[in-house]
Amino acid sequence: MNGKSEGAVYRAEKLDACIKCSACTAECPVARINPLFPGPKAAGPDAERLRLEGIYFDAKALALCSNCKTCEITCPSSVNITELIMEARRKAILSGANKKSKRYRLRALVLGRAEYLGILGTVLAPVTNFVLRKKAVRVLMEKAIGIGRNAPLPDYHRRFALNTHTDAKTKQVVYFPGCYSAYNDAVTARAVVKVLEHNGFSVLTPSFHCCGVPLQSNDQFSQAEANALYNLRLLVPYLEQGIPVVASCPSCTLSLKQEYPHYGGPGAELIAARTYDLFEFLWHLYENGELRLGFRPSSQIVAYHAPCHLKAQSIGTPVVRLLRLIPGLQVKDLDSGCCGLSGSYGFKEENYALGMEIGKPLFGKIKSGLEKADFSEVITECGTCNIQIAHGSRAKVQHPVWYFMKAYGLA
Amino acid sequence: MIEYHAEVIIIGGGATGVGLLRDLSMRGVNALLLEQGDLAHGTSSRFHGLLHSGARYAVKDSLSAAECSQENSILKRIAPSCIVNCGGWFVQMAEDDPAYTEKWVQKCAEASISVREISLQEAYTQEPLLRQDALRVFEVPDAAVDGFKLVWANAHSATVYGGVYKSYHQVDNLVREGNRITGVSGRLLKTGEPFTATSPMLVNAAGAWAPKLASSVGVTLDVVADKGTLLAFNHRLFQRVINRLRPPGDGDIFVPHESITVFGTTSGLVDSPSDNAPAVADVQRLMNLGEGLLPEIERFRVIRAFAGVRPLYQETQSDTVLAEKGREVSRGFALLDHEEQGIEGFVSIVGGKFTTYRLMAERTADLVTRKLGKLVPCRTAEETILPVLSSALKELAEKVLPCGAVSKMLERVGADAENILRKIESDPAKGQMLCECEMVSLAEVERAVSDEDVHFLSDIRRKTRLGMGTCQGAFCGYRALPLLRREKDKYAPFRDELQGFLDQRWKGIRPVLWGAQLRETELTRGIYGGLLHFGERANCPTDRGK
Amino acid sequence: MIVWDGIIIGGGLAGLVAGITAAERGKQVMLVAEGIGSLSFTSGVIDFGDFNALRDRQDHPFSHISEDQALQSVSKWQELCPFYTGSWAKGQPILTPLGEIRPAGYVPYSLSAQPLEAAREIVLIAPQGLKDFFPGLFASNLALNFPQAIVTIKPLQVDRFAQHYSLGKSILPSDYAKYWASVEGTDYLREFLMGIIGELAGMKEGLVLVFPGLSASFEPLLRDLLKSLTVSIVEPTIFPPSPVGMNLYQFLRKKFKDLGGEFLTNGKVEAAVIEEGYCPSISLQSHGKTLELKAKSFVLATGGIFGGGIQVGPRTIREGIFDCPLFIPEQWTSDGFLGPQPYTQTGIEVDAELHPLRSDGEIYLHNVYVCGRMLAHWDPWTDHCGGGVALTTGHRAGTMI
Repeated sequence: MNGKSEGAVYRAEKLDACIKCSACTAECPVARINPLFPGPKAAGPDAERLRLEGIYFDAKALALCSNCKTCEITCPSSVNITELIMEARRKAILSGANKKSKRYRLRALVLGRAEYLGILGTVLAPVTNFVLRKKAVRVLMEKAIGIGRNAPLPDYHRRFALNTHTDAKTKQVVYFPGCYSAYNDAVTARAVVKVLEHNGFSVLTPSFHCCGVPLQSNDQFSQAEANALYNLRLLVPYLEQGIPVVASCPSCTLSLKQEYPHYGGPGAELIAARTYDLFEFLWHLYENGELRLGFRPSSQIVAYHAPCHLKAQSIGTPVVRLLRLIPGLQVKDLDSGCCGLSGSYGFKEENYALGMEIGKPLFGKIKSGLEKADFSEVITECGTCNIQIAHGSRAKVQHPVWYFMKAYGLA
Repeated sequence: MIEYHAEVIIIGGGATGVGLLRDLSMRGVNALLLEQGDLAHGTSSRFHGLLHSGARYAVKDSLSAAECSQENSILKRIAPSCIVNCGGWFVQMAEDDPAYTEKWVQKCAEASISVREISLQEAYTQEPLLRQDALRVFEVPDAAVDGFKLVWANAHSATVYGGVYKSYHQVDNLVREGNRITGVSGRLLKTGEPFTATSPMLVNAAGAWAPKLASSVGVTLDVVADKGTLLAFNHRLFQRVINRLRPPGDGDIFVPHESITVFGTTSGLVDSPSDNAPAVADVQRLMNLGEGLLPEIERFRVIRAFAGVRPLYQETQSDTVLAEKGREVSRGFALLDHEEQGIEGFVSIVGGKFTTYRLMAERTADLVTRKLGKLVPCRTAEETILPVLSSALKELAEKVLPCGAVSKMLERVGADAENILRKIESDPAKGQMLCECEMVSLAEVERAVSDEDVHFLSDIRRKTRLGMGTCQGAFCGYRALPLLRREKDKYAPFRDELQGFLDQRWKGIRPVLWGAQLRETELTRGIYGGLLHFGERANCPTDRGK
Repeated sequence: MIVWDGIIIGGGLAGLVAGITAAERGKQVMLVAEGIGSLSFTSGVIDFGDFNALRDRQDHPFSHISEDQALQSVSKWQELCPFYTGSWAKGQPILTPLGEIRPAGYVPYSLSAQPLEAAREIVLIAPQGLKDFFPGLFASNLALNFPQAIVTIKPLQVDRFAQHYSLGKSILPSDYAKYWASVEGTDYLREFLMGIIGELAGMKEGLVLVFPGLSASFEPLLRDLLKSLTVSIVEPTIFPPSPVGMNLYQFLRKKFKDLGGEFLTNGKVEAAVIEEGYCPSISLQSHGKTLELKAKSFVLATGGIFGGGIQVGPRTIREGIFDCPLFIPEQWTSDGFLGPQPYTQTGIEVDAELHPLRSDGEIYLHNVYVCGRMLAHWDPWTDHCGGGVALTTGHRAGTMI
């Protein structure tokens, strides 16, 4: 069987695995609050059988999916639900299928009502202050356009970008900082580099473009692909030498692991196996006895929010394991679902209120935990979860790498 | 006692019978059709849903091939909403005889069947699941046809012209006066109430049941019952009909049918036309044969197996020997006027294929009208069966229904569309999908339930495709039942009906009980056996005791 | 590479109970779950069937469990989930999603239908648009089963779902349940319930409310609210996905994590290393990488055929991770769909310590323990002991780690 045929068989098998139990829809953070989104089962495996028949959905209904992958984590049958939805959306956008379907005019699934667009803005009244919303949208604009195109990279970035020559004598690692670290929280990116350097690595950072996740949320599928191919080209020489790639943002990591291999092109076959979540990487070092220990004790109790895109990586929560190596530090897993931002979904003006509503249970848990002094700080690896949680719960939120900075005496 | 009278009584509500009802009604003949179960419950819905281009029979039976070819284009014209013109391929594999291919190409040309060779590269691109060591691929005008839809469309159209059909009317006896058949008697299957029907002319269109009916007045019909087993796969594996290019045999046709793929068939003579339970051995044989076109067949989900009993007509007694093998019997049809055997007012139409049902009806109607002295020409080849829906109605559908449901519903319900859509418009909750796999709305099920001839969940299934998809009725059967058992009846006896429905679905799932469908089945048993507490209760004491 | 004390494969009831039991004992454990497991299909009901009769049946999973052990598991469960009610000696009635009555073992207390037996007035709350709930049919069944009571239907609408109503979209029970568990939802509910009680003040004595999709047992806010009311509220079990089942899943998962267990989501274990009757490590695919996990012992709780732990093809049947020998019945199916089905007996045969056995009766793997639906010789739906087998064998496996 050739590769193409194997891919077709794989897709067919995944689609066939759905037993229609609806657990995905019951857990979907978007379907719960937005009646216009048909839900992962309907938009994913149900619709896929119809799509094969030449009946398509309105891409606008598919665009309501936040790509958080909660459905895939929930599915007891390993159906690639989000992948089905994103692929359908990509095809619809790229082919302009909204205008010309094979057999039928397209309508939104559950609610192909004419007033569809009118309702969208009023599903939930915006609850928070306008200024913040503007700021959030600005971040999105930055991510989607600034980075997606050829925006100049910040200073620290260029410094490492120069350091692209491999040196066989020292251990090397390529760091993919991601837009958030690169543009919004450069100090955290520097902290990641310091922790890696502290462990004896020289850190290479070519001038990457945005990984593509936020572009997809904005229907810029060709731009996302172009970015991926660009990043892959930069990575090829390192991948071929077996140098690992580390990212500190779970959305970037997941995209490198899950989506880049599908784009084809040089490096596509190697990228997934060589890419590590930062803490997945550090845990490997620990297991191999290569992680520097001697952590300074801490007496803090921190609450941890596991980003959705980390849960989808099938690696568990290595950061929790590592933090528990720091003497005295206590970690509590919040386990309260999606924060509502999902990459950049919640940044979109029309999704802002939805995102805040999605995150409510999490914010509530954090607020009451802080009030009761169950914990003093909140940590999460994802930069955008970080913004959303800080915004929704007023808590101080940090990237967990700072705890290692402290424990190593680097901060 | 219920009494009916008509100029012509037709027995059998399959494609031929209903097609004849429409034909006669259009010619102004007062006709009544009696069907023992629901329309299209027999062979007309238990086949692979292939609208033959004729190419399959080109080498062996050029007459059949030509008939198919002609009817193929007629039906595409008069019943476009029941047909998906997906086209078909004939694929020659390495082990197939190249000489047969040459002969086939030539014979297709003779029968005016258009054949176009496709490059292998194009073939693999368009059908990535197809076995990738084919030698040659040819495109023909095969299509997929929905047996249920076409039969119902004919029935509705016949009604418009004054035709009458009665389902769940089982005919027990033919009434004979001297040498003439003057009518029939029987009973209503639901209530047991007896009925009689009289007419100067009786047409036996009972398909596989035809010999039994004829033998009651001493007429022997040389029709054998040939069981064909088929498999339904969970989704469209191919985008067009895929045939194996070799002499017709078992397990050599895949037909993409709406959201599923049907694969078949086997062939084996059976004693009774009611023997339509798919057997495990036939299923295994099909799985083996299927690898010839679909090499990874075991990795795809089979949602059910089903079988239909084909009435095959054998022209001479000497053919009986050949009939042992089923396949060798003619797929042609015969119109038999029993006056030749000394019985007047009685005609049988036997054999044939779904693709040629209209032609069979036409020939029968020609004979019947000639005998009745009503010389009106046939118009069924010209007139579209279903009315064309207005664009305003389509727009309304797009406004009130999810996208997937629009086209599916409009094709299914035809003339009833407006009522259903207005209902949803005034109460949006009626637009909910009861069946999420095949997109059947609450309003559509309510419409089906309101029909006087809908008594069982299976009747709803045949009319709407409810329960035909991935879950095989586990979810939608539960949802439809309260609509069927209405409030005034205190919803009783819903348990038995639901359990009966599940048992009937079980017949088709049992022989394909592996993989994802087995998991689905376990979920279904969990819901009904566990949660709803149907079925076995022996081990469930209320008091555990000590 | 670190060696875990135990790795539990499977995140259903059996796996979670095993994980919690081991974590409580101070073991370092990881639980690998492919998805939500079967808990979302049940409404948290734990049945033991006819325990002693099943125990006497050769090879039934209960035959490996003494009554004392079963009782220990039950008390362990009630300690873990104090909001469960039930008694070992006597079953209790619960309502099915269609409003019929069925006997059950241990249930979240709000599911117990006992209060209905003495009801004189039953009010069925019908939340508008609640998916897979038929108020008319439900009420008619209540009236049949509780002839002493007057049954009325009280529709309920919530502003939160106004959009759903106007669009005609149904609302999943879990969506309603999540709303009731929120601060606004609980406030709304309080007002609504007080309203009904006020209206029916004269009937207070025999008044029972039936409220589908509430899932009151897990949420402190709701528990407090119900406690403050003067009438009883009964929740029926719910057509899947059931909010009670999902809440139970989340509750157990959180408990496991709080005890220090690590929960690996989206993980499908695909292979195991086997050396001389022991398994040193298992592995799963994680986006192009093979994640190898070492442990001293493993719990196999992958849910049998339904859970995907036993893979059935047209020609082959196998346990997918350790390739454990399976009991496979000669005949696969029988006539009545809901009657005894031979294929349901497929599974792994074990010794009293839940080690998987070879066909010669010797232990196949000495550091693997099998529990729940992976065990051979039972059918939860005809034996009526679904949760019971998962709970007792999961508990047992957790003590073996």
